[in-house]
Amino acid sequence: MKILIAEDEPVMLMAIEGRLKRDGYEVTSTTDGREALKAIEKNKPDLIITDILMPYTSGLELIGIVKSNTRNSIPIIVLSGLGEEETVMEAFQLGADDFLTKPFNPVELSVRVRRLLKLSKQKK
Amino acid sequence: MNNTLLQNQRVLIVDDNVINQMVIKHSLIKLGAITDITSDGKEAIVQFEKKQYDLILMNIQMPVMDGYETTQYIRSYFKSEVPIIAMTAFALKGEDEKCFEYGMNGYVSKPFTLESLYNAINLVFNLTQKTCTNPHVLVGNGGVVVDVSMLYDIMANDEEYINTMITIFLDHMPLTINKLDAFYHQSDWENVYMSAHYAKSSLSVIKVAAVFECVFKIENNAKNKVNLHEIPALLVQIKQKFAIVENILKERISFKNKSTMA
Repeated sequence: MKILIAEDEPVMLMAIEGRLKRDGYEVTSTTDGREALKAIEKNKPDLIITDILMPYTSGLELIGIVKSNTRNSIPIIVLSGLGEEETVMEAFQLGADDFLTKPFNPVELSVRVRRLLKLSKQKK
Repeated sequence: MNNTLLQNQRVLIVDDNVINQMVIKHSLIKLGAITDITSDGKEAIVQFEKKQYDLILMNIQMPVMDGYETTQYIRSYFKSEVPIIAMTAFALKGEDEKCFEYGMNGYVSKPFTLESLYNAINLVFNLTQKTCTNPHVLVGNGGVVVDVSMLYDIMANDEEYINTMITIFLDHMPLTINKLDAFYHQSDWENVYMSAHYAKSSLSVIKVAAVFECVFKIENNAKNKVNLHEIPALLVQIKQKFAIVENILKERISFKNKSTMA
């Protein structure tokens, strides 16, 4: 299973990446929304984990673009330091499948990733 | 935030302001505490003699007997090491050092959020625990606590990966702090906000409550363009504390390297 991460802060990126690799996923890391979109096109990941505040293309824009493309139904988990109600609402309205706030609990991240991958497999 | 931080702990509140008393009491109850309220130092001492407490939250400026005097009394007369947290007015320079001089274990500046109160209590509890049970919580000068336990939750015992993460943290934080400083001087609040938010991300992996708290305030102030005059003092605090964090983490890296070579 392939997971793409979009996160501009390197310590956080290594934390997410490390956990997912340990869980046995194939991980592609990107550090802004623009880079993420290119990598999504190229690698066709099974799941995306994205930050919100990033250079060039924000996480919310990224969700909008990925979800408006009906051909791909890649599940998206938002992992953000912004936990305000309006941000969470906006992310879900744009089509995000799950929302986690920083600091995140590594075990919880693993569980939510597994659950979403299972759900999207059932849909297919 | 762990809302069982003060589960069944007895906390004595010493504050002469009735509204403050209620706010503090409410916050402490949220964290699971059992509280008693007194309105000045003298009352506090009488109450302290009657009952055992796990923590005291002490206002500084009070009638009859102020917070400093009360703390000194508790330390010298009762020979008690009960953790005492001062509630200070942030604006007063040097107040924090004075608190430590008089035997207090920590301080929280007013007005405070539940989060900053929580962080202050957490910090003091980590400090006053003589043998910290978690080997991944490191304590440095001035009570600066660095919690690297999340790295172990993520990478178990992959010390190499963990060391790389710490090294990246040590390389990046000074750059972010410099950016904060530069954007502040340009009054570029949007980028002050973005940089503070960025720093918060690093600090929620390698957890340093004392620095996180300052960064969090800057993030909020810059975002809402309020209390911008507080930012320079917060930046000074961040720099001072980060210097201690650097020492703790560098020491840890060299220690781990030595122990793996042995």
